[in-house]
Amino acid sequence: MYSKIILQKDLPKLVDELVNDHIVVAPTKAKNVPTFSEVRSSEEVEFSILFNEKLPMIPLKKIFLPSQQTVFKYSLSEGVTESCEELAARVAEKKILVFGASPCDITGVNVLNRIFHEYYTDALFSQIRDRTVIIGMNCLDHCYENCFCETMHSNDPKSGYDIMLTPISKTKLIAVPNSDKGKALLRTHGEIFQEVTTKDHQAYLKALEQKRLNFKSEFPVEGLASEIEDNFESSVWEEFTKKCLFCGSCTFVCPTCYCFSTKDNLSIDLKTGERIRDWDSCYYPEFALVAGGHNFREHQSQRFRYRYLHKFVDIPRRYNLEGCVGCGRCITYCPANIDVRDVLKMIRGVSN
Amino acid sequence: MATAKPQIGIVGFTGCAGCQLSILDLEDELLDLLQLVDIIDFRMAMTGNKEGPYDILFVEGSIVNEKQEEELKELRKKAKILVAIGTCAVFGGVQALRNFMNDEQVRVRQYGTEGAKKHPVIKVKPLNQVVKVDHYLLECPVNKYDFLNFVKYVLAGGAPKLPNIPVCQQCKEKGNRCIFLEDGILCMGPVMQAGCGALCPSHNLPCDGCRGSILQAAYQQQVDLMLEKGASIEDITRHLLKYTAEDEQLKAFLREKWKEQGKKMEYFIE
Ligand code: SF4
Ligand code: SF4
Ligand code: SF4
Ligand code: SF4
Repeated sequence: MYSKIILQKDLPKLVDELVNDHIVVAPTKAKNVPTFSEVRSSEEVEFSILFNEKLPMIPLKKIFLPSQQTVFKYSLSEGVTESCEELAARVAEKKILVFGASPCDITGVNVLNRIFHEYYTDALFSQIRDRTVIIGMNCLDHCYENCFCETMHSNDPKSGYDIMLTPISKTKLIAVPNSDKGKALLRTHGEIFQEVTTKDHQAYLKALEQKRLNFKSEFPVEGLASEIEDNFESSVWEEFTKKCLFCGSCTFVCPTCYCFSTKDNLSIDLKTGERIRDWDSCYYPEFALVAGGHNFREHQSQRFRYRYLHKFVDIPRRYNLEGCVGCGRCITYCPANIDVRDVLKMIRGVSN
Repeated sequence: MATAKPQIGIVGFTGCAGCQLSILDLEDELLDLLQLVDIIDFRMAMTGNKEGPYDILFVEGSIVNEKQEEELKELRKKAKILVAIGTCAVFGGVQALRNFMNDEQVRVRQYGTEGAKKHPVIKVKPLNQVVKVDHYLLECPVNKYDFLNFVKYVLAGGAPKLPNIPVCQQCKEKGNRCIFLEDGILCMGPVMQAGCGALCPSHNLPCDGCRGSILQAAYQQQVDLMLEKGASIEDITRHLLKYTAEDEQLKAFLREKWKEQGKKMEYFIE
């Protein structure tokens, strides 16, 4: 059996071994906000987040699509001097290891991975993804009231991670590898792990059964895309527009939002510069403004609606994937208390 | 004598001189900047100043009396490009809150009954109420990197565009806890221009919008939400206009809002 057992009290030991040959990214608390950041020792890791809060405010996307990133360098006389591909080749060094990703966050990265490869391979995204190993932390129940991962089919990803840790008792977790990289990791750090006994295995199966029973779908998503399309002119969009502040917080905390704008940073000698991408949001007034001055979504209600069109119509149809993983972050961090579930239910005409 | 380098002036009217200090604070870049331009007028920093002609004139501060109005008009004649720098020059600044007080009362309080007769006051004006302003650089004090970028872009033949995105974007990028949502602090981040790096919210202070509001800001929703959270229209107005009393877009909206509440905004400050 490839799977191994690890005692919960040994998790810090594992992290301390992993930091030797990886850039380890794990849940931490910065400024009182649960977050993912690089850690140099297990002391910096907030293990409680793995078992309790589960979801850092900004999802894993920040590792693969940092909020500010140089995409190419140029000189005014020679044009592009260092392309996206060249920059990507230059930064690819040490392996990154993500410790403690939730199943829905893994699904979120899978969605981004697909989008950043489908029509064009984004070299920067790709090189970070390729050198990243992901250790997931399984959920056996909804982590909080805003979570609706079961509805969005995101809590049991089949790929996109290398090891999944599942708690099988108060003190033990089972580490199930999901790739060759994962198997190799378990071998390399074999000292920390124990063999799986028959009793452990039964406890694992029971945990999975419990998971199946605990998770409940809140509403059907079948046929959602065409329902939204049919309700393109619905007054529901207007109603929510009256509450929305268009602050964009929901898009930055969303694991599947990936939009960015670009800006130039010209050097002081006025000869060279770099183009930088920076997170953007379709809730902002100039998001759909094009050269010549036309704005495809001039009105707030069009912008409010667009996020739903993109997530629940376009992404599913284009990629055969759910465009939302049901993590509930956009609900938790919305200053106006707008709940994506309410919007969808009202659009479908289902009352709460 | 003709010189290839653009001639630059940096002058100030009524303000705290903080904008000029911010420019001086560009320690690492100042020498490089001087390779690109000649600073011919910067009274705060040097002697031997020349009053124009200027290729670019940066003006700090708001206009608070008739003498200043005349001076600014004269300066305008000598400047090819005039740039308003900082909240006072762009929106009037904190002192423009005076525009919401009764003129007579202000004079008496400041100069006494006798003195009031000798000192006429005018409304506090941002530069563009007196002369044509070509560009605006925001923040209180002006963002020194915006200043530097502006010089670079103008010399390269363009002008940087305002991103028109709210402070929340940078606040979220910084990974801050939202004090508006979590603590009910009246943060104006959702409707105010980013560019400051969400400086105030990053220090647990509310954004009071010293960069002014974004275009198509969701004022209505923002104010309704704050009223719902129990704030009074007086408080909200004070927050929204603290730095940008002469932001026309914002003022027009607030007047309507006061009307809705059956009140008159005109002199809401005692
Ligand atoms: S977080 Fe809420 S208020 Fe802000 S843009 Fe999203 S839905 Fe609107
Ligand atoms: S739309 Fe909301 S619930 Fe869905 S993935 Fe994004 S943040 Fe999570
Ligand atoms: S268009 Fe809007 S909803 Fe879609 S990924 Fe971009 S920010 Fe998110
Ligand atoms: S603290 Fe203010 S600026 Fe930051 S996200 Fe909240 S409302 Fe926006």
